[in-house]
Amino acid sequence: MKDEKEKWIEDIFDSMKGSSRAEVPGDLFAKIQQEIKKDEPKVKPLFQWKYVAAAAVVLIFINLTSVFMYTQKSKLLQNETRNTEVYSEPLISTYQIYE
Amino acid sequence: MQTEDEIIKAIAKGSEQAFTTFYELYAKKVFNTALSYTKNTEEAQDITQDVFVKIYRKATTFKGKSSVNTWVYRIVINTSLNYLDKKSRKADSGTEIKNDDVINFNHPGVILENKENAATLYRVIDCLIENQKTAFILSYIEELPRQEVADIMETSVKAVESLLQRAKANMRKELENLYPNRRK
Repeated sequence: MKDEKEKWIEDIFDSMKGSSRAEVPGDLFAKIQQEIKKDEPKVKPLFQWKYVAAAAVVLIFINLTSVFMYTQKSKLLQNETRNTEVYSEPLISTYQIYE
Repeated sequence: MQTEDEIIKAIAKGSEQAFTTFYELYAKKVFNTALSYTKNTEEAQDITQDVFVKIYRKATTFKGKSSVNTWVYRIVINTSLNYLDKKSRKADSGTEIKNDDVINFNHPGVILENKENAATLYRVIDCLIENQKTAFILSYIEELPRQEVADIMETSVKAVESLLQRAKANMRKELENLYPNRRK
């Protein structure tokens, strides 16, 4: 009796041996594709974001370069003006030329 | 011939052809694993659908640290367990659930002479806690090698063996209770 019970239990544990896999319903893939397409516009693939990030970096670089060049140029202009003022100062100390 | 890693990379770039190839390779594994957890073909279909949508969307996150097979099994197991968890919470809140299919589940792939025994096996699987159930399904139903089961469960082979021993001991107790009914 005990042996019979043990054998039954062991048979239960081994009952999936040699079984084959259940077939997947034929229309399931179409349903999956539908589900994916439903939300597709909301999800942007990562590689597109890479391009956006690269474009942003380029724009920031161009902006920084422009600002740098502009400040350099205005500094140069300021210096030039100052120099001109220094050299011209004694020359125009007085306007009474025909005194 | 593309490797599975290459197929996943192609899916990450949006290739529909790669996704079709991947589905053909994995649909049966995913569906049958989900079926072992749910014991219901409609629910297994829902899980399979969910798993493939996740794979399509998460393909970019696959870093190749584990094999594609291991990665897919992890997704199926987590999705199945979450599904069952939600289902039991619905049951607790009083939403009606048909249990007849679960009790009388007959796996379509089982050979005729084992049908009754397999139905009993599926009936007692439910007495197991989550990690024992996973170890049992992967080892005895999916018939995966112990090392692969350990990789999927992110544990050691020794721990898997221990989980299987405890799972079988728990199921044995349930089966011993069922045995007299069978004799009547």
